[in-house]
Amino acid sequence: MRNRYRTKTVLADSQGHERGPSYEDLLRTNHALREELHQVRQFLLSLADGKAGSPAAQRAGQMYKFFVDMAPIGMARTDAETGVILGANRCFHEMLGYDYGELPGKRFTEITFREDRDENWSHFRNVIENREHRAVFEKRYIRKDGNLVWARVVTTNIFDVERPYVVAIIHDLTEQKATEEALAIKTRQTECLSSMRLKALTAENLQVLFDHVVNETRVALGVDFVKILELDAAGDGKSLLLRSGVGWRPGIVGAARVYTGPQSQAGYTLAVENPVVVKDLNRETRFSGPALLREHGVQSGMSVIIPGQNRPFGVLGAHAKSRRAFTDADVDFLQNVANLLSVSIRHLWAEAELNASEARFRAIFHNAAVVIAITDPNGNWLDFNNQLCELTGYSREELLQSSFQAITHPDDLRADLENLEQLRAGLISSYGMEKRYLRNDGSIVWIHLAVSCERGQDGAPDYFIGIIEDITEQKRAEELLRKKEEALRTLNATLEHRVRDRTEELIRRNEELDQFAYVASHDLRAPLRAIQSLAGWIKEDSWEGLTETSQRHLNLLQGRAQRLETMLNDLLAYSRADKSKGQLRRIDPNQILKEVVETIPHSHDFTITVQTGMPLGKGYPVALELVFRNLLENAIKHHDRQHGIIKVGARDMGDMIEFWVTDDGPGIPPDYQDRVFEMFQTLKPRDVVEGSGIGLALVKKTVENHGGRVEVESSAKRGTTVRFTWPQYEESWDGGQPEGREADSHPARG
Amino acid sequence: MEDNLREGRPIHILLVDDDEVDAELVVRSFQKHAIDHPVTIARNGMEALAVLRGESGDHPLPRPNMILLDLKMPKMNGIEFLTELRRDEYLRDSVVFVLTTSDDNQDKAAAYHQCVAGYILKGKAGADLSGALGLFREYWAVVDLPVGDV
Repeated sequence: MRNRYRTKTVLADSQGHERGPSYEDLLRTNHALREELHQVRQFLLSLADGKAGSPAAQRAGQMYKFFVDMAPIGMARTDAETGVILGANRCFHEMLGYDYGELPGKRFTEITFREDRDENWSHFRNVIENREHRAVFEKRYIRKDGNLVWARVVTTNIFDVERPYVVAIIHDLTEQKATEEALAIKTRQTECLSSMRLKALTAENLQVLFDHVVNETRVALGVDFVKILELDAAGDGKSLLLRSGVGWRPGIVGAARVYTGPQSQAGYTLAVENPVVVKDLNRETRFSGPALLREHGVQSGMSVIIPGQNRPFGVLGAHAKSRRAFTDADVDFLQNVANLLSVSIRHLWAEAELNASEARFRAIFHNAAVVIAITDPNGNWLDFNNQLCELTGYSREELLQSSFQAITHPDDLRADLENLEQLRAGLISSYGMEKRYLRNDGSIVWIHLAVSCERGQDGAPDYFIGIIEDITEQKRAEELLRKKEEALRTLNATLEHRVRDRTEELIRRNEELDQFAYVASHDLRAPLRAIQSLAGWIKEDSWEGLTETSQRHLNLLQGRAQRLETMLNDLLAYSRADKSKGQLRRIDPNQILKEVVETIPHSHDFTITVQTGMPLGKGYPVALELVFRNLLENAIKHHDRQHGIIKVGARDMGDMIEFWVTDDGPGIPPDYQDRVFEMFQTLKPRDVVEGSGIGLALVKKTVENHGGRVEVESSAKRGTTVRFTWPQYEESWDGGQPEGREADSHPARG
Repeated sequence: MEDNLREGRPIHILLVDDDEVDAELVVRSFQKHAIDHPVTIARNGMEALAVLRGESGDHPLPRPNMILLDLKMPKMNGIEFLTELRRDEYLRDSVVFVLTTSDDNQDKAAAYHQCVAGYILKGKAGADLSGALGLFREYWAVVDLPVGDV
């Protein structure tokens, strides 16, 4: 027979982890044991049948003795009357820790555990008095060293001998018991885990779960203290808060902190990232605390990490007041609990997040300033916020019975449905449109609708999501704007009409005026010429015959006639002054002045200095020539001396040129300066001055027509300066060749 | 300049102008320039035709003659006169100089269309029309005109 019970049977699960014997294993072992027992019994009985004393019997007896002595199970004979052990084999001695030979003579009750004596005794009696043929029971023996040892005893009585005795086969149940114990622990722990898992599913929050877990863990492990420490609950990363615990002094849970430095068991656990088992806290060298454990008289314990997402959630610890040797199974269990916690924490946290998210979405849905609504693929309202009720005037119940089609204005329905069809078919992913809803009172409200589609796995629409905005105000504003625009446009058209009419009128008047001036000056010439001729003839024919008075009269007549001619000429020139001859050109003032100076009468008596290198102008050369001619002629005409100095200069002013003509003549008194530019203004009597007085008016008109300004300066006793501005020629403007004047135009001369 | 006129042969000038002063000017100019060809004055185109044809008892204007024609006249203006003139079988060969104030190109064209010998602007003819008269003198000196009725 192999010694099955000295060698430890190691059983492993599918991952190679050692586990205690299962129930099936125990049954199998038991069965084998019974078999052997049965064989032994048979042998014993066969011996009992044999004759004592024969050599065969003696040999058998010796064999029997040998067999019994060396049997691997305990065997003993006990006197049926006294209960004294008559004989016991080595195994039995060893089982009880006695030296061989010490047991015979003792009563079996002496070596039986107090609590089991009664039962033992009753079985004993039963067997002796033949009430039972055989008794099988379990009991505890007291070893020599005082420890207890579990055993299963099979007793039978042997009758047909001189003194009846009871034979007992004793089977050491220590391992079996240990296995049973381990199994019981395991079962209990498994039940605890299941219970915790269940609690994790139903717990409202983490604290409820934690509290449940610590209690269950304490029971499962049979320890004095259990704690759950959460890392960094306070935010500084340096401490763990005692979130939940059992066995601790009141007030500790929820308040106490353990620091994460490696001085504390929890800190050390986090640091080594592995479960930590303490056999004797006093002798512990890896760490010294924490004070919390010492204060509570903790001597041994284990701690494991509760895993978290990016970093540990915390530490789960189980501690005992005694120096308990925690097994690997204990550590496994504790880690299982910690893992369960970790998963639960994650779940609860995720659930909380989900709830918060859900709450946020609900809030958005219900508090949005717009209508958010959902319809089924056919348009029936499924869900919406109350804003839809406000918008449409219908109650929630009424709308839930209805569809969007029912409240859409018939004119807008077709477009809406077309869009919806496209959306449904997946041709578009969303659409927006303006349409009208019919409120419950029949009134219309303009809305802007944005629709999108939520599809299921198969791509078919599950429901439509609509965002609806009341755009009544907008529409009103739009309408107002449109009306205003129309009014504005009408006004504009009217104004343009008026402007056009006025412009036409103006042009017409101008043309009339010009024509009038032209015709007048032209047609007035004929009689004027006649007058001049006649006056001349009279003079020729009858001068001597006239009285002095008449002679004087005749001279005056001629003078006036001349004046009239000049005026007519100037008038003609004036009327022509803004008629364009050709196109705008680049003008060289120096060139113009050269020609003007050459052709002005009496100019050789005067010193006329013209500045060289004048900037180029832009406009009609004829016009500028007219201006210069008039100014120079004026300066000469109005000079009171035979010789004088006239200077002409120019200055670049950016987009304009400033010209000036200065003379050293008598000047213009300040009172007259503002009338100087009016037509036909002269300072001296009409007969003395040849000029018609129209010159400066002409200058002003011409300059202003070209966008310039003219002014006269005559502040000192003598001298006059006429300043005017003229548009400057820019490089970027392409106006043709620089010319003094057009080749084929007549200078404006009288 | 010396007069270089055909011996004793006068050129009858018909001056057609409604303006008395203008007509006077021409006459006086002739006098000043010592031109003593006879000058007849008609006030308008109709009168001019009457003179040329010799209506109302008068003889027709003798040949050779020359017509100085103003354009702007009442009753029948210069162009109308010219048109009529050129239609007349006996008169159509008349030598006509237009003497006018009109600078209008259309008038010039119309005149030349009726085959005038020249178109003179009074304004350009110089003081006392000396420019025009100079032209005429040269004209008469150099150019031959047929005599009598042919």
